[in-house]
Amino acid sequence: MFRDVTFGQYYPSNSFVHKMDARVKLLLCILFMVGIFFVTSFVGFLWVTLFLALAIGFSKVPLKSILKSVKGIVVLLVLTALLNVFFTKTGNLLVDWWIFQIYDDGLIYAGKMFLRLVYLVVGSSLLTLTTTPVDLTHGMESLLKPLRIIKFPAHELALIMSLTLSFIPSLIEETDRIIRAQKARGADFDTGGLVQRAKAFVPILIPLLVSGFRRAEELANAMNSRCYEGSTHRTKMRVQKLGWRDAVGISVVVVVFSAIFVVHATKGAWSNLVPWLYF
Amino acid sequence: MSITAQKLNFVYNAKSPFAKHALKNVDLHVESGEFVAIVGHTGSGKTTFVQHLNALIRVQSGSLVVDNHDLSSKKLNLKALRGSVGMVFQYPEYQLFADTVLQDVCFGPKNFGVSKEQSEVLAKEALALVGLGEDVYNKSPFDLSGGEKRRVALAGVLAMKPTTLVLDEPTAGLDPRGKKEILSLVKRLNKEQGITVVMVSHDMDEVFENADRVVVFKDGEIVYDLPPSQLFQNEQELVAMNLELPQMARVLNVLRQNGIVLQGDLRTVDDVANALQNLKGGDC
Ligand SMILES: Nc1ncnc2c1ncn2[C@@H]1O[C@H](COP(=O)(O)OP(=O)(O)O)[C@@H](O)[C@H]1O
Ligand SMILES: [Mg+2]
Repeated sequence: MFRDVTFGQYYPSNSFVHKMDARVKLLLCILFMVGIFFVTSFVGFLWVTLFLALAIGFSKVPLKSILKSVKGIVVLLVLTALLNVFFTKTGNLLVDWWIFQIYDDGLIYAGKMFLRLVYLVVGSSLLTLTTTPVDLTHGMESLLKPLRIIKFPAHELALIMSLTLSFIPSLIEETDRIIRAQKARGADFDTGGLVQRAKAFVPILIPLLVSGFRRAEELANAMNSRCYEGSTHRTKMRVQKLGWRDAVGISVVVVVFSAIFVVHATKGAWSNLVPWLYF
Repeated sequence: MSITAQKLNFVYNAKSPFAKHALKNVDLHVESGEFVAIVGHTGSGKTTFVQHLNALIRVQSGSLVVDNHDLSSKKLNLKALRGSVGMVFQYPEYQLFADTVLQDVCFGPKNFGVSKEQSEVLAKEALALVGLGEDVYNKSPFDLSGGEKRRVALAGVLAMKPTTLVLDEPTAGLDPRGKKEILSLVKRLNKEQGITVVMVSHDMDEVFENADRVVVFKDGEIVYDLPPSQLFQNEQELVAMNLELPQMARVLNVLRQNGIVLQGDLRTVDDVANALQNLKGGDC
């Protein structure tokens, strides 16, 4: 039953975005997340929407998979929107009922905040949907490398992350096995009160912890016996290389967000000339 | 008790690109009190089949009757079935969890509603069966040796007083002595208490020595279902399936090729040596 749970959310494909370098995608994703906070007008959001549509199109990831990740933050979305609607007290009063007052500024802020959060999630899930967890950790490691000067353990951090990732499938399998074994001994996980059900998990959790520690120790021994040392210069089996796709990707993102930054920086000068740009 | 499988089919991850047809039209009948061994290459569907016997995997198509339980029925009484079919998993020691050995062995009976006192009686009986004495009752199961852990796990199943015992590679990873102890226990339960045994095994020698019948799985299908003495005459076919021949079967085959046909059900070195001695008229 546990094998049905797919790990992470990587969507296998051979698209343009999939083939881009993980480091580039990571950096561009960070740029996107920062940039989205400089978008303050609906025209700007339309611009970003166009960019996202382009990126999603070239990633060949179905829109359904992307919207699935948005579903995860629905509660947060609704809550922020409501707070914005009810606690903004500027602009024209639209509704005045009992203790609630709704101003038009509140609706505008709420709409923008809503879009910003949705786009943040869409942007970051586009990264995880098109990059395998392994590539992602390697990318992070290589980006954090310069920090080694200040003794930041970039390699060790990446190692911990990739080991965690590689342990997950075997832990899932182990859990499945243990559940079956205890069921065969008559264990019952589906009936009884809350306390009883919580107690029923002890026969699963303990063997799982024990086997987790056992595996970790075996792995540590295997690494030690082969003289593994993290800090020395290690080479990678799969070397990441920048290609033309990365150049194209970087150019597009840079153009899109340069426009946004320029518009943002010239707000004082332009907002009277082209007011629609700042609505 | 008896087991009857008819046209049993099973597909993992059906309707997905990862679909795997693990059992194909499996027909098998096991009589009450029989000792049946299941062999086959890794991935041939042995585990999938034996997990059906305990309804850990539910029947997808075909029919399976164990005892009087119809396992393809929705109204199956799981508790009653699991109480009468004891399932020993591969590496069962990994399922130990309780503070003490005795508590762990009591887990099974307690789940079936047996009182605390009565389940301790059952647990002590089961531990005695597997050859563990009073000195281990209050030890942590994690402090025991590998072989002892496995025997505790086995006791945990035996304490439920099953009438059918299903074992999935029970001797894998044990030293020769540990293997012998487990096997002689299983054999004793089968002979003395009439418990039906279905045992998956990779060790052809132990299969040859103990089983009444050997079922060979290949790619989810049963390709042979014969008594060991007949099965292992098909030397080439078995080798082609990556199955080894038992030592004694090889000796018997060589003897047969040289015109020496020994009579009777010969399983062990002693059996064969005795038969040879009788043949020679005792001057060997
Ligand atoms: N939970 C599962 N999900 C998907 N495929 C599985 C699962 N368990 C087993 N399989 C596949 O089904 C086939 C039969 O497996 P199994 O019954 O474990 O074989 P055996 O015990 O003979 O080695 C194998 O090809 C295996 O990869
Ligand atoms: Mg198996």
